[in-house]
Amino acid sequence: MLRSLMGKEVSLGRAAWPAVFASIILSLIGIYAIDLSTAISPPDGLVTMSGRPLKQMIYLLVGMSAAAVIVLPRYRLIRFVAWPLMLVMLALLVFVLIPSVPGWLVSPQNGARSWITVGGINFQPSEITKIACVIVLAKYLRFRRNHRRFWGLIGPTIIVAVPAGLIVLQPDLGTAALFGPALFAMLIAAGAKLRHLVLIVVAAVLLAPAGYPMLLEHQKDRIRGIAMAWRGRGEGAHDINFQRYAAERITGAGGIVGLSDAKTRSLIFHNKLPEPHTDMIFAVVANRFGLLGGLAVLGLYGIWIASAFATAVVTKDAFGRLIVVGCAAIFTAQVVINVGMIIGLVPIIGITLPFLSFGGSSMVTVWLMTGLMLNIAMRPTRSPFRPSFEYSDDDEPTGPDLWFSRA
Amino acid sequence: MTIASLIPSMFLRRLTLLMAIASAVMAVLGLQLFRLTVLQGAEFRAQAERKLVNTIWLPTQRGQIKDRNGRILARDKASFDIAFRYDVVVTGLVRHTPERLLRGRVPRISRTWAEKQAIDSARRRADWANLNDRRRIQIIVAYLALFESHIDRMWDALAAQTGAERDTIDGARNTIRTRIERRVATYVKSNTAAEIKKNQANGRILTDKQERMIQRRFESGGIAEQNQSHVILPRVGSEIGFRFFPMKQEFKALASPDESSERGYGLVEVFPGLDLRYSGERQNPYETMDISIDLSTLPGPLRRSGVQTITVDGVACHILGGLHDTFYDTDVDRRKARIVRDARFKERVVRRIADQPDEDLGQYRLGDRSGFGGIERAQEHVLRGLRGRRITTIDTQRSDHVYAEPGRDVQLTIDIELQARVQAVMTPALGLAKVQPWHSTERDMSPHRPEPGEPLFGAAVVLDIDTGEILALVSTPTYSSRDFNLRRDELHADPLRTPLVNRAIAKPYPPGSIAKALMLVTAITSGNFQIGQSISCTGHLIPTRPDILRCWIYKNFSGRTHDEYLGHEPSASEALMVSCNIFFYTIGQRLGGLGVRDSYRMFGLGRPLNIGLGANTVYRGPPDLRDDTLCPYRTGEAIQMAIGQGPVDWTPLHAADAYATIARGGLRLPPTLILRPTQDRFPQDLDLSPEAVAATLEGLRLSVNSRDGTGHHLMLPDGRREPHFNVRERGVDVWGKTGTADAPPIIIPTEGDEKPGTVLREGDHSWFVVLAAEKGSPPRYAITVVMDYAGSGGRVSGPIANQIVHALCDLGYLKDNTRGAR
Repeated sequence: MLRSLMGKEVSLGRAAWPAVFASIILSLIGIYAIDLSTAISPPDGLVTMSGRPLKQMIYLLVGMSAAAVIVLPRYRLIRFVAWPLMLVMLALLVFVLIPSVPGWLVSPQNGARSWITVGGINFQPSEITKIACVIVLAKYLRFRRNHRRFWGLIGPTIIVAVPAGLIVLQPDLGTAALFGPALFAMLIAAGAKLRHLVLIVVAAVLLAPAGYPMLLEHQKDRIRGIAMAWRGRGEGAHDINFQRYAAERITGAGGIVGLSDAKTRSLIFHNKLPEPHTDMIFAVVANRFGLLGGLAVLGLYGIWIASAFATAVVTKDAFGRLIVVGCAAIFTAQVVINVGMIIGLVPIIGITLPFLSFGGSSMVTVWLMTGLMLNIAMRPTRSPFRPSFEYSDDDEPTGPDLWFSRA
Repeated sequence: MTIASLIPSMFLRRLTLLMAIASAVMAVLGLQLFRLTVLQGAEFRAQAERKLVNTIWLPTQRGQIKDRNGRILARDKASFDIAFRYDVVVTGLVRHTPERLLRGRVPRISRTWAEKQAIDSARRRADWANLNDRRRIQIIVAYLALFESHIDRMWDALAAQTGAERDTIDGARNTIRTRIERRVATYVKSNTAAEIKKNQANGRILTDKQERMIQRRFESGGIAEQNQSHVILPRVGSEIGFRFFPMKQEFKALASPDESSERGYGLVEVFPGLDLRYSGERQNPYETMDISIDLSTLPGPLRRSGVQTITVDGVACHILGGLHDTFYDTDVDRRKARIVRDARFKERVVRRIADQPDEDLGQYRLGDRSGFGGIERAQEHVLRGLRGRRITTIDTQRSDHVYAEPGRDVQLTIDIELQARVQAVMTPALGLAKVQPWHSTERDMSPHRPEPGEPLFGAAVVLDIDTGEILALVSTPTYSSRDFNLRRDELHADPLRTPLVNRAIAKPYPPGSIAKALMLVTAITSGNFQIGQSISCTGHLIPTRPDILRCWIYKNFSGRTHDEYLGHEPSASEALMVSCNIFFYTIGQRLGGLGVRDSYRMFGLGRPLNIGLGANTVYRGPPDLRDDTLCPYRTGEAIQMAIGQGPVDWTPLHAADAYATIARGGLRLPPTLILRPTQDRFPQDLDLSPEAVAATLEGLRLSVNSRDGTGHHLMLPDGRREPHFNVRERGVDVWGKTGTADAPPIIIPTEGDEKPGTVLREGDHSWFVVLAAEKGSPPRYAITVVMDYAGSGGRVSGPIANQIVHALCDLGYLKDNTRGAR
C-alpha cells in the first residue's frame, strides 16, 4: 500500500537535499533570532525554552513533519487534489472577508482579515493558497501550448488573479505580491514567449501610476516613504519612515562581524524595532552576525533556490518541473521583498522571511514547499519520457497574427 | 555561438534565465547589505547606540548683569514648571471601550497613556495571536486597570512630593483636558468642513461615509498639543524641581497580570511623560527707582526750593533688554557661528561626556528663552548657562555626568543710580523734557513741531574720558518689561516716539554744529588753518548769494555778522565759541571732500562702536566713509558736512566719543558698556596737534563760559538771561558746544499714494555736548544730550546737560565744593 502510494521509482533525490539542510539551518537561526528579538536579557542556555522561541521550535517540528508527510505520496497524485484544494482555499479566502464572521473565528490583525482561529490555533489560508495556486497552475500548464500565444496567457493569469485579488482585499499586499513572480516564473519555464511577458511587464509598469489612487492611505504612505528615503534626507524618520529607518539602523549597526548577544538584545529593544520577531527578523540576524551573517543567510537561501532549480533540471516531468519552479519563485520573491524592505530597497509591506520569521503558517508553508521539492527530486521521470516545454520557432501554434505574437 | 546552440534545451535556457535573475537580485541585496553594514555601519551603530543612552539635562541659571558698583540689575529667580505629556494627563479622565481599542478604532493620538500601554503590553504576549476576542478584551481591561492605577498613584506621589493638593492637580488636568478637547473638536470640524467644501468646489459630491472618513482622518492626525506636555504645577521651587529631575529616569516593575509577558518588558517609568521646564523669572531689581532732584538747580521758570521725587520706570531697559518667551532659529545660528569662530568659547561650552559626541552644553532646548535687545541679547553667549548632563548607558548601567554651570555675570560700566538720575531729568514730569515757553525762537514756525507742554524725547550719554567707560546711556521714551509684555505691538507701532529704539546708540542724527569742534581740530592739525589766523564772517559764504550758505547770526538777526558782533574777525576759538557757520564753511572748503571725510572717520564714524551691545550700535555716516578709494563729495557737500549737515549723521554716543577723544588730546579709546581692561580696547593715537587740541578746548570753554558763547546762557521769555550751567558754584569746570541740527522730517508713507506721506514731525534736533571736570582739572566726563525736534540746542538740551553735571556732583563723580564729595 505504502509502496504503491510512494511509487516504485523513489530515489535519494540528491538535488533537493541541500535545500533541506539549508532549511534546517535557517530555521535554527530563526529560533535564535526570535529569542534575540523578544527577550531583553540573555537566556541561561542558548535560547529561551519558553514563549516565542519554544513555539517556533514546535512550529519547526510541525513544519518538518508536514514536509515528511508531503514527501511520501507520489507527487503526481497531488494533481488530483489540485483543484479541490484550490477551491477549498478560495472558499476560506472568501470566508475571512465576510464581515459577519464572528471575531473569535476571524479577527483582524494589524488591520488585515487574514487569520482563522480554530481551537486556539491560528491559520492563515493565504499561505497554503500560495502552494495550491502553484499546483493548479502547474497542472494547467503541463501539457498545454496555448500560453505560447498572447491570448493564451489569460487562463493562467485568471488562475493567479482570483486568489491574489482575494488576498489583496484582506488586505495583505505582501502575500499577494508573491503570486505575480510565481506566475511569471512558471510561464517562463513553460515556454511562454518572452516578448509577451516583457510587454505585460512594460504595460504594468506604465499603468501602475493609475493604480496608485486605489491604494489605501497607509499603502500610499509606504510608497511615499521609500521615495523620501531615496532622496536621502532622513525625511519621515519619526512617522512614515520610522520602520524603514529603524530596520536600516539595526541592520547597519551590525557592521562586518556583528555584535554581542546582549548588545543586540539591547539595541533591538531600545531602538523600538517594530515586529522584530516576524517581518524584521533579518535585521536582527544582521545586527547579531553582521555582514558575514547576513550574507551567510542569503547564501543559505541561495542554496535552497539553486537546489530547487537543480531539482527542476533532473525532473523531466512537466508537472514536477513547474511545481518546483513555482515554489522557487514564491520563495525567492518572499526573500527578496522581505530583505529588500529591511535594507531599504522596497517599500515596507507585511511579509515574512522564510524559515526565520516567527509564525506557524509561514513555517509550515515553507517546509511544505521544501517537502514538495524533495518529493519531486526523489522521483525523477524514467526514460522514455516526453520532453516538456521544449519549443522551437517552427512549432508555432496557430492564432491571431498579431505583431507581438510572432516568435 | 548562440545561447541556443550552447544550451539546446529551451527549458534549461529558461531555467538559466530565471537563475540569472535570482542571482542578480540576490547580488543587489548583498551589495546593499554591504553598503549598510560596512560603508555606513559605524554611523548606524552610533545612531543605534544613542538609543541606549539615557540623557538627563540638568538645569542651569542665567548669569547676572551688574552695574559698575556691583549692584545686580538682572538676575534669575529659579523655578520650574512640572508638566506631563497629554496622554498621561488624561489617563483616568478619558476612557475608550476595550472593544474599540482592540479593533483599532481609537486613533493612537487619542489614546491615553494607560490605553497605549495596555494595548502594547497585551500584544506583546506570546499567545496573543491565539486568543479570541473575549479573552483579548479581558486582558486589555486587566492591563488598563493596572496602568490607570499606576498613574493614579503617581498623582498622589506628585502631590506628596510637591506639597500640592491632589484636587489642585486634578483641577489642572481637567482644565487641560477641556481646553485640548475643545481645540481638537474645532480643528476637526473646521478642517472637515473645508475639505468637504473643497470637494464640492471640484464638483465631487461626497457620501456620508466619505465625509465620515475625512473626519476620521483629521481625528487620527490630531493636533500638536496632543503630543505635547502641559503644565500641571507651575513655578514650583527650585529645590523641588531639582529633586524631580532624576525621577525622569526612574523605572519600576509593575506586578503584571500577564503571566506570559517577555522578560524585562514589565518596567514602566515611575513618572511617565514627566517634563520639567525651567520657568525661572528674570528680575530687574532696579527697573523702577525713586529719584529726588533738587529743584533749586532748575532754570528760572521751574526753579523752586526743595526736591521733587520722580518715580522712574524702565530704568536701563534699553541697555538690559529682556527675555523672549522662547528662542528662535537666529539664536541657534548665532551660537553655532560663535562656536565655529571663537575657539575659547568653544572650549568653554562644548564638552564630551563619556564616549558621547561633543555637545554644546549651552545649546537651546525646548522651553528655553533667549535675550531680546540690549545686553541680554548681545551678551547672550556669556549670560547663558551651561546645563549639566547625566548620561546613563542602559545596557552597561554606566553613568557619567557633568555639573551645570550658571551663566557668567556681565558687569556693566554704567552706574544705575546715575542712569536713573539722568532718566529722571529727561522725564517730562520734571519739566525739562517737555515744550516750555523759553524753547521757542522766531525760527520755529513749522506746524509739525511739538506743541507747548508736549513731551520731548531724546538721548543722553555720560562717558568717563579717562577710561572710555559709559556711565549712563539714556534714551527716552523708555519702556518697562511690564510694558513690553503687555503692549508689545503698541510699542512697536509708534513711529513718532519709537520707544523700543535706543536713541543713544541706534538712531542716526545729523551732528549739526557740535561737529565744528572736530573740523577745527583736524583743520589745524592738517595745516589747513593756522593758529593766529582768522576768517571773516561775511554773513553768507558766496558774496553774490545772500540767500544760501548763511551764518546763523545773519539769518536770525537781520543780516548781522560775527565780525560785527565780536568787533573783529573770529579766531579759531572764537569761531567755535560763537559757532560761526562762515568760518566752518571756509574750513570745509579748505579741507575738501576728502579732508572732511577723513575728519569724521578718524573720530570713529563709518566703523561700528563695539560697546558690548552687538549689532545694535549703528555706525552711520556717509557709506564711503568705510572705503578709502571712494570720495564722491564735492566742495559743496564738504562745506555742509563741515557744519554737521549734509550727508552725515551719527549717534549721541559717537558725539561723546569724539569729544572725549579731543579731551584726551587725540587718544581714541573706543567706548565700552562692559567693564573690561582698557588695553583690550585697542587705544589709538590720532596724532592731533597739541595746539589744535588746546585751541579747540579753549573754544569749547568759551562757548559755555563766555557771555558771547552760544552755550553760555538761556534766554527766558521775559528777556532775562540765565547761565546754562549753575554748577560752577560746586567747583566744576565745564566746556561745551551747542548744536541745532536741521533734521529730516518723520513721514508716514500714505498707502497706495504717490504723494509724500503724512508729516508727523519736523524741525531741528537740539544738541549739547559738555565736558566737565573738577575745578582746575582737565575734562573728566563727556556728556552728550540730544532732544528730537526740540529746536535750539542751548535752550532745550542745555538745562538737561546742566542737571546731568549736577548728578555727577551729587553722586561723587565730581568734587562738590559746596556739599562735599559723596
